[in-house]
Amino acid sequence: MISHLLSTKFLDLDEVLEIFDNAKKFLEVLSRPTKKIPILKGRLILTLFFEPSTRTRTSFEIAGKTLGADVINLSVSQSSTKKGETIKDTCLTLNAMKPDCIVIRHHISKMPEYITNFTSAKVINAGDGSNEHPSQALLDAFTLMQHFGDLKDKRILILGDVLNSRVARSNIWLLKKFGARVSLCGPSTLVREEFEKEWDVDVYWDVDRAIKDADAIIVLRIQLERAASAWIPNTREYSIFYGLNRERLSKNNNVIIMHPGPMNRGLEISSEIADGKNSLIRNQVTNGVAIRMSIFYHLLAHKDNITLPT
Amino acid sequence: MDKVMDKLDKVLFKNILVFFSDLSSKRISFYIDQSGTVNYIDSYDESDYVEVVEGEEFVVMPLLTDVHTHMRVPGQEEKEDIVSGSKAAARGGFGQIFTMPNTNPVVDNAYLVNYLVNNISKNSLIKIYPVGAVSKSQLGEELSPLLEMKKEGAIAFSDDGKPITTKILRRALIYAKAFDGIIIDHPEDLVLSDNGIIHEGKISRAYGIASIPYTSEEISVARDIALARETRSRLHLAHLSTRYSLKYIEIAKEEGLNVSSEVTVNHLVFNCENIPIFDTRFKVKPPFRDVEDMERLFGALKEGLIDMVCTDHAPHTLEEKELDYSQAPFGTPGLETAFAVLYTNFVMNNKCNLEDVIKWMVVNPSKIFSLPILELKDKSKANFFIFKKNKEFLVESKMFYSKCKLSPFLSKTLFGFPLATFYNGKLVYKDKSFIKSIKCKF
Repeated sequence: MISHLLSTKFLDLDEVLEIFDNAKKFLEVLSRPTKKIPILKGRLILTLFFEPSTRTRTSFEIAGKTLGADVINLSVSQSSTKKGETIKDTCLTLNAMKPDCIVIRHHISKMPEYITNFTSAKVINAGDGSNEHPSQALLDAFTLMQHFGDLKDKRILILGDVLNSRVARSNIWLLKKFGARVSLCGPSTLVREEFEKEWDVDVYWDVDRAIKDADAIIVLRIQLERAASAWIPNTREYSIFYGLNRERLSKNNNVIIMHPGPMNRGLEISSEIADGKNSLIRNQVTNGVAIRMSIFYHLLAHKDNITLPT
Repeated sequence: MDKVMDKLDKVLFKNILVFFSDLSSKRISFYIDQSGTVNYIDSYDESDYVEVVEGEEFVVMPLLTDVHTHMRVPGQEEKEDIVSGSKAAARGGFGQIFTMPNTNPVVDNAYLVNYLVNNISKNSLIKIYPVGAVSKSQLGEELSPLLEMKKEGAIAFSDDGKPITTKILRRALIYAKAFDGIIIDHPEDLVLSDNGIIHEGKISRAYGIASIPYTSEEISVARDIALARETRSRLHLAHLSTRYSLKYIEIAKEEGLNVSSEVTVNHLVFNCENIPIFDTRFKVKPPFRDVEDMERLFGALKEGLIDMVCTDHAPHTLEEKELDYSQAPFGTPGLETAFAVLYTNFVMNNKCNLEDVIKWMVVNPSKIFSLPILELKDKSKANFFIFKKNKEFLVESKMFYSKCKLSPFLSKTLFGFPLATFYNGKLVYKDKSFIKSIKCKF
């Protein structure tokens, strides 16, 4: 059993399925009028975000609070890094306040793993650089499982800025564990040909070919404020050649559409598709809370043998 | 120290295997008199001596030369200074080393070279030659006063730490030609390196880490060689890291250009797959690349394409190196371990012999940079180091004289560590297990 959630690489399938089973129970809790199941009462969860985030942090916060934990949010603007403190000291200081869990997002790959050296709390990676975003991948796989029942041999296309995407990496490692066939598509600067061999996936630079056989498409956000900007000419060109719209999907009407959000409507995905009948984007958000509850439970209360609602 | 020399002439080095810079070797008996002079002896009465050093396993070597170290003086003495750096060099068997000018302030004028030379003559156990900056403040815009610095003792010129800008490199090569000056370039295209921290390859892609592609070095090497061809001046390329750079070196050698190059000991033994990811001791520039690069670099050394081995000894403080991988500075120490690493990994595995090591760390650097050869010679001041082939050392931080104890070889077992080093007739390093009749502290 994992002691931190840093990556999807080292999760074994049984553990993932257990997280999914419990997430189903937590989904039911979320549909109640009184959304509270205080199994983490008295536990302290810190969210430590060195990058701006609304949805991921809110999702973790709701998950923690629904389970009755105290959730304290620290964001970079309030943090000490601006005062020249190293992350080591920040973590040692926070650790001295005895948190049970630290949810961290950082712009540097592998930073969550690094901070496990300086805290006795369970560490959850809420996104590190371009490396991983394991809770997102878990909720994506959970959402796909809900829809397909089984992911074996399902063809999942990840479309967009794979090079700079932590969502893509976590999803690739995880989906392959389920026996899904993962393919990647995007401009050749963002979907490098080396990925094919190194990651054992299919690489497409032609979006129409990539879409043709896909069972589901995970559309990635084009982060023009970040690294992607240097690798593609402009959003207009991207949108014309790689944006998902009705015309492009007309040859594959049944394909499922997902997006980790926040979306650039009209850029990587048209509104028609985002809000269309095949879109699971809203389900992802609700499932996200349930999955994060399940992750907290798994890391913090699993050994306590608390009976969950059935 | 004088007391040490008093006792030293009571130590007999009996029938010891000695290697020379002409790549010959023979067994010699000698002692070192009170003035530090080596005296060969044909016959002796062992009872005249307090201690006898004898055995098949002992080897006397010429002192090593390292054309690439960072003594961090002036202005970064928290990382290293002349005392600690020269002790580290002596412990590693080095008799002469270069110190790079990327300090604070940058050594880019005669005054600072003079300061360094004085500091060295006062504090160093061995010979240290300052390298002057090619450009003012290493900004790559204005040429530094190369001739004035040379007059004060600068041995060569480099903007090491970063590449020399194209504009300044061309001018410096043409300018230095008049006085046979050598320009040392750190080949790197900073635009391609961007904010990269590891080699661009499978690992950087798997973790989405900012990376440094092969072409960052290759393009710079190609540029450097084109300029060396145009100017016909003397150019030395620092710390080659990729197999793709070698074809340009090959062309330079074929055309008879005045181009030489080096590889660090570390790049001969580490690659991006055999190092712990995100251990800042292994964060260096250029980054450790693929296994194939590592193997080809060693091959190129054996073929004579690369001329010498250096350490790029680049000490930093514990506080700097314990930062996370993205923020910790590039560089790792290497003077103490260099010979032992080469000996253990290559000589003991029959991938090369001691004569090769002498070529790479004694003969070639001396030839290319016109330096004296420091080796055992009858009736001359003692210049050598001695090691014992079968003596094993566990590398521990307490072994290091460098202020930076964060060696990438910590907790590894190595053979070939020098047991004693003599420079210019003085004992500058001695392991406490060796010649126990002499008690001294280093």
